Amino acid sequence: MVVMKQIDAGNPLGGNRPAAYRAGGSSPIIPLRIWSLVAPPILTLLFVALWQVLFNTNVLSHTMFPSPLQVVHGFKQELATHRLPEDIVASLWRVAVGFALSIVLGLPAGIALGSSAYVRGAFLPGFNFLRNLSPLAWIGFAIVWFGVGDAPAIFLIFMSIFFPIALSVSADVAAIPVVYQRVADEYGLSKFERLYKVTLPAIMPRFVTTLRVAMGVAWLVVVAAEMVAGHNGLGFAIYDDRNALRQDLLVVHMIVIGVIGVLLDRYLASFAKNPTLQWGFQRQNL
Amino acid sequence: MTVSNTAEFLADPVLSLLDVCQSYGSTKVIENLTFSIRKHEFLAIVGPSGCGKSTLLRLMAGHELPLSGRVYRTGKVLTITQHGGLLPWLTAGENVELALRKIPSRRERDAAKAQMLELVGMAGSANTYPHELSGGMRQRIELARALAGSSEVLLMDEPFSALDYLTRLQMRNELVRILSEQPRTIVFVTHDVEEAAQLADRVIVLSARPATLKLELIPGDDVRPRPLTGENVTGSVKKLLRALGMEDRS
Ligand SMILES: Nc1ncnc2c1ncn2[C@@H]1O[C@H](COP(=O)(O)OP(=O)(O)OP(=O)(O)O)[C@@H](O)[C@H]1O
Ligand SMILES: [Mg+2]
Repeated sequence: MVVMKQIDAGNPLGGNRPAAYRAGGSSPIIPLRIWSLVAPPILTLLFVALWQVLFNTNVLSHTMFPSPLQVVHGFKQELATHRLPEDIVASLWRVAVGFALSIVLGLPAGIALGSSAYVRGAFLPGFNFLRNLSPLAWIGFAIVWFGVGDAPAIFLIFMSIFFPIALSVSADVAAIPVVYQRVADEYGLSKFERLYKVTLPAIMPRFVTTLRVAMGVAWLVVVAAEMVAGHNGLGFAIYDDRNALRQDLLVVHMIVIGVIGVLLDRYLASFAKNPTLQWGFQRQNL
Repeated sequence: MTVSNTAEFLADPVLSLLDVCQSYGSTKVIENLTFSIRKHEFLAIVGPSGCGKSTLLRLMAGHELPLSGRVYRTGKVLTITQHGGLLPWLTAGENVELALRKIPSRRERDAAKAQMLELVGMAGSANTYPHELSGGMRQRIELARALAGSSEVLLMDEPFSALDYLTRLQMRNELVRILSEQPRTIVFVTHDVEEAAQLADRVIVLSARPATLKLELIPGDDVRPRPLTGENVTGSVKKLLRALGMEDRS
């Protein structure tokens, strides 16, 4: 007897997105949405438990690794001194300024590069050169020019993400389908209308991705910058922990840096939910 | 130089091509095309795939310049594209509004928008994004936008090619009804000789690339859309197919 399986139910993404192709065709026991919410914390707990067991059984050397409980203890200490919130605010501030500056200058630079082959011809080699230069190479200058504090970190963030932002915007602008430009021509859009009715919305879905990548880099760079040219911030805290041989605090700060990085990325990714960007995230469903 | 329809050329046409040639690199796409279009005429252009029909419309719209020859236009033209020209980040209504930006009063603009959507039978979809619409619905919205743009000439590049046969038949009726309410000059590119024979005042057949004028045909002067099985349509279809190199063996 031929058994027919129902395959059109249980698409958690809704009807207009094709469910991922499944070879077996069986429907899942736990819906994906709940699974993705529940599985990561369980895995983390298992990992921490394993870590504690390895520590207690001396498989992990006590001089090289802190235990989870020591980390929790260090976290409490750090909260009591009020240093942690201050470091977080200092790092976030530097990233915010460097990120904002890079967008405010990188977006127009990218649009100029993407719109004109002449601008590209003149500036693209230079942009590519600077983009491929590790921002850490600028540290020597950053300290000499800006001393210690916010400015050198902001400068290094800018040097690391301004060029990639400009270049990816320029590629996206250059790839806008010519049919949209023709619509703009035929309906008589002014230069300004073209910018905010065609060019900007056309690149926006990809720009969200560009921003996420740039934020990721900025968050990496701020830690490095603060380690060499800071007197506070999460990067400086890491540097301080190392000098004080406080591995428990090292782990505390690593966790804080990672969690904030994920939250920043989540926040930027949420921009993609905007209904005017949905067209850019649709799979063709003809 | 060969001027077809000299009389029309003299009778103040809204759009004329004079000895137009176009090439891409060494590929000749259009060769010595000369014809013109009267006000409120419905001109259908048929030709084999890849012969240069879309290129011809781009030349008419002024999106590209001919290699040689002249294109004359008396006013604005608007294109309904072959592959979808709605801005995907705007709703259907906002796309139509693109053509109504010059109307200063918000109320008048909304009224004009509603009227155009009503005209193409899409009144309920003003707040829908193009990717949420079917191919046929998108083409209706594009038509509504072009009609709202109040240009004298509409260039339509295979506007019904994405539709199934029944919807296409229905859209032919709709287009005739819409044009009776909002008269326009239409250049209508199609693969479908039956469609051309039903709808057009005049049909131009192009040769394979490079496109040259192969045949000019007036299917009849009866009311459109001409009945599918009527003599004017069946006779014209035969002639058009023969011009396209499809011999009818029946
Ligand atoms: N930008 C271009 N560069 C080079 N060749 C081109 C370009 N645009 C069109 N062509 C060539 O010109 C020819 C005509 O193209 P066009 O799109 O005008 O054909 P068409 O008649 O509209 O075809 P279809 O019926 O399939 O839509 C094609 O053979 C194509 O290869
Ligand atoms: Mg074409």
